[in-house]
Amino acid sequence: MIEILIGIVVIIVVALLLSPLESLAWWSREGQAESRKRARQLHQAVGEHPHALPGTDPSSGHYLVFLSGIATIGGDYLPSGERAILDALDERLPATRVVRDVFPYSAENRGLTARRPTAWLWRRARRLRSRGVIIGYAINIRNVIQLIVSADNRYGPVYSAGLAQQIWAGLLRAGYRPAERRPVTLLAWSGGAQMALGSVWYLASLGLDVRLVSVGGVMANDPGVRRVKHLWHIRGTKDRIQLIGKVFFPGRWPAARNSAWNKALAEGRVSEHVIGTMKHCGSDSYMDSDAMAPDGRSFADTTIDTIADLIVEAGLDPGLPEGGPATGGRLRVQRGESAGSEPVDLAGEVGPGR
Amino acid sequence: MDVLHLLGDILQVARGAMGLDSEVISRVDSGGREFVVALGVALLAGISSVLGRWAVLAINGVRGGRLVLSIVVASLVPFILYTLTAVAVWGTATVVLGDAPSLGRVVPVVLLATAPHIWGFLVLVPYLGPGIERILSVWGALVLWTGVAVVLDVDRWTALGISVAAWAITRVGAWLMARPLQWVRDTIWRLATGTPMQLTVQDVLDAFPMPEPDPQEGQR
Repeated sequence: MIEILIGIVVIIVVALLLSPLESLAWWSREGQAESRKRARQLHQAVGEHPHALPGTDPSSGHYLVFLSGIATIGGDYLPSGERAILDALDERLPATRVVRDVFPYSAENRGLTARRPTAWLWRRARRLRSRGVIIGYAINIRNVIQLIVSADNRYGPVYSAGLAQQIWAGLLRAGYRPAERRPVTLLAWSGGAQMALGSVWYLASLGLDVRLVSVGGVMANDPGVRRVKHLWHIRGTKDRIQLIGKVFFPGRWPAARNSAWNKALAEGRVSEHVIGTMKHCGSDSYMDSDAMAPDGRSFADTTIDTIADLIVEAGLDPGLPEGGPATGGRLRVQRGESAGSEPVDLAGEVGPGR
Repeated sequence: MDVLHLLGDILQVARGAMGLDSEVISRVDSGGREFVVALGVALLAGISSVLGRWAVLAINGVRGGRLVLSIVVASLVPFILYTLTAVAVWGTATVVLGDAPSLGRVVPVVLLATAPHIWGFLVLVPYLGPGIERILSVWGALVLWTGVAVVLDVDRWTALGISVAAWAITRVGAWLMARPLQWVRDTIWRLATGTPMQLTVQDVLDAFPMPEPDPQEGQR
């Protein structure tokens, strides 16, 4: 038994030691030059349209970039609960384009099963996880470790530079026109929130107004918080996982008065929204369409309403007109088929819930 | 001398030093081969510490032959620093006690204080790394304290006083010599890596400033 425990500890330490290497190698190889080149290109594009101003007309376009939680394996894979919520938001926010193909746990947007020597391993892990075999959750552990890399002030800025480039590329794929500088909101779930916050530093340097909606997000006192226009942290009272950020990152402790996080709190740029009794994952989570709030809405609909309302109230999207579509941007998942229970690969494979 | 045998001795002595084993430490101050063993401990600690600070080399894009050269140069740093600390210990002991063993006996014992830094590669671990580094530094200070007590043959409180005084002298010396030392560091860095200065993570962040505010925005 002790040998097994020692073996597990050794494997975790080796994984931790190797975890920053992907982003550091990327930075050393091409990241530094590439980041600067893209920033230059953007500033040139903006310079060619000197009269273009940051978009403030809510009907003219807003971009919502989704960054998934730690169960994801690539930009082409979204758990079904997350997909259903994005579909509903797409409907609720007519002037908003949703970008959903960014994999936040790789500085190069390389999914775990794509163009990697270890792709076979992650494919096997995904299959095991879908059958509930515990070792399949190595995917989650791997992504948690990347979250720790992002939160480390020695590696995080390099990692985030890569992710910001991938978000930028995702925006361009979705039709974003740099010269118009339309506002961008990052919608991040769980561990994706830290990754999103890290990328804000670089996205803001491109002249974008960047906001962040964190749903049960785990975040550190990242430099990105200094540049975020607003950070809305949505949480449920039974979500213990999101507390990890508050507990383990000293920059978020109330005693750290001069931390970027606490300054942003004092300036009113960070706000917390308790939306119900949601747990972090599984049944009764933010994405559960079966669990009902006292007002008769499902937990998933409560989450959708909250996100949509925040975006509309911020003047980023006019929202649905009175008497809009019949579904009203609600989940179109049939009752009894909990949206949060069966993540589905966009390629059609079925995976487990988080 | 059998290299493998020497490596075994280095690891054994390092283990003893990390365990604050006075008997193992006392064997090192006899000079000769033991000096080589202590030097080996310092070099091993140096190499491990370089691995722990891999991010610095990666951020600066150091690769190939320059990477090897950087590792070699950086591996020597603990040896140099702790040799200077040994001189400070020896000088303080000479003043305080009036009589001190030869510098040749003090240096290898003080070099053993680098032993905990053999775990320096663990500093690479994300988020926990800086904390691990602090633990290793405190651990190294405890080894120094034990070693000073052994080599000077004094009680532990006198040894603590001399260790703290030597540490303070080294710090003050570093502060007084900051500019020339920085010049030396930058020159070595430039020669080893081919890059003009050492980029830090803050430099990476600073390379992406916020754009100038659009003057037309205020007129809107």
